[in-house]
Amino acid sequence: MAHVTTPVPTLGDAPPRLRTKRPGLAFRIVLSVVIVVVVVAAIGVVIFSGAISWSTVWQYLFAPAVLSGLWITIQLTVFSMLIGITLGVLSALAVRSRTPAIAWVARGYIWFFRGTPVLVQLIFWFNLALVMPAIGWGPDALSTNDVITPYVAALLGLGINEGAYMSEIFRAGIESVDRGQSEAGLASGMTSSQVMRRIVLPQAVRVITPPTGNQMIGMLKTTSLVSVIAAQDLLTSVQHIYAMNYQVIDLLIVACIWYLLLTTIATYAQSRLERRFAEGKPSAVGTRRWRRTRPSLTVADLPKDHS
Amino acid sequence: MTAMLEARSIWKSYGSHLVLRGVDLEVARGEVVAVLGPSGSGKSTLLRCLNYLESPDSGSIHLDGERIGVVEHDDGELYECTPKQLARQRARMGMVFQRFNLFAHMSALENVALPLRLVRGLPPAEARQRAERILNRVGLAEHVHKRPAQLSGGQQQRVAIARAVAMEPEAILFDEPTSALDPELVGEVLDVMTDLARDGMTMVVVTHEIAFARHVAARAVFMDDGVIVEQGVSAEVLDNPQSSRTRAFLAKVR
Repeated sequence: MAHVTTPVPTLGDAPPRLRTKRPGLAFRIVLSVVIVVVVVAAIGVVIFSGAISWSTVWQYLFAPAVLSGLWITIQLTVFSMLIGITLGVLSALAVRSRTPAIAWVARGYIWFFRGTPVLVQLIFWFNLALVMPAIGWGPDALSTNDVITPYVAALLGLGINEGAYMSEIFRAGIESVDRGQSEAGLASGMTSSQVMRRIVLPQAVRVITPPTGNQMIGMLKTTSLVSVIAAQDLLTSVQHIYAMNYQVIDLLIVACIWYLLLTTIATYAQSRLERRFAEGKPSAVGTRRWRRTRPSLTVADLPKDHS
Repeated sequence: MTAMLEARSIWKSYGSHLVLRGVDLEVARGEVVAVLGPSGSGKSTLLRCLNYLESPDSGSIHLDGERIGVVEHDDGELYECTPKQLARQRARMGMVFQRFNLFAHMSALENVALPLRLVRGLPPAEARQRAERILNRVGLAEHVHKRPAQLSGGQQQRVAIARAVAMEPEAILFDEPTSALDPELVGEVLDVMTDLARDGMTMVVVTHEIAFARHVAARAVFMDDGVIVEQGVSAEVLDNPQSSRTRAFLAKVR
């Protein structure tokens, strides 16, 4: 074959782009119109049927009792997630422990609390006094019923249950980090706890964050279960109100509006967080120390033009 | 000639699969040894046994006279090293991996500086200075603030070598350091390794780079099927192999 070289074409040499039409466009437009009409009609039937008194909804939306219930729901969500994340990290690490009993206890914890309904667990914590009338020994012992208020029972039930799920999320996150990362750390003389803290967990955060956000959103709604132990959350509050005025649907709508608002905000925050990770921004855990000592080390400070 | 690194009768198996069958290897201070052999011959496993990333089933490793991974108590009983002792011993040996294994969430500079701070206990400013100096030496002065994903394979491997060198180890283990690189990037990594060898670093290099083995390594070790089949002055082993297995391997690699 002859030995030839080819000149490099430039953009001007390129032929015009292919112009193609997508088949079935008209059908999809008609289909969309039909769907919109059906959905709007269905919503309209519910809203304007007269069964819902929107003035009642409006009247109770910002009622002090509802707002205080909302506040309890937010507290329960945040605190039980914090308990859950703490227990999740500890048990995920404990499962990997070289001391067999520690690993067994962690595995038993995960098995038990994932395997029983959280509703049952909540009722159990609420009735803890039945199996354990006092906490502590001797004269300092406290009556269990004084310590385990509905609020405390709710936190224990939700937090400890959440820990078992978070544990699995952390385990998956830790396992997602390439083994070569730990090996490089160990080979350079780091201890396994240094490797875990400085190398593995900061990288696992990327994998752990999205499902943790989902758990948080789920928790906003799961907190409504504590109404069975009258923990004064949002659902408990509206139940108290409709028990007196019988406006069941209106007050449930009040609760739904607030739940939707909370989950929408949480979902938005989660998508922002995920985008941040997708852009490859440094994880907060891994680089915090560095950022404090040397601000120029974050990706954000690098020139924007290199890719 | 005292051995810097000495492996005696190393055996290792995974389940019923025997990977190392009694390997002896001695590396003198400042010596560069190239370990060659077909894949699956056990050369990477041997390297990983040297710093106890894998524990051998039997045999002993000594670094400058100190036994690695195992301590003999006064009563003659052998004990596993504590994780702390093992970490201290590993810090005396650098390791460079085939897939670089740079810490993905850190810049090149942080990759080099982190072990200096955590393991050597250097204050952050000093660790950074030393890291900068060494990255400069491997030709990466302009890339110190980039993350691994922003660097080419050759650049990443040079950062990995800098990370090992910065710890001022007594020996560095190289596990196929150029096998994951595009052909045009192999040279820059071998250049850095050649400089290191000239500076007198003790190196054990598992490699397929015959030219590097011949020109930089003083000694070549040929492994097959979990044993050292042939070893000697690298030029002699490579140009005039005695074993038929060495000959067959070299014929395929060339």
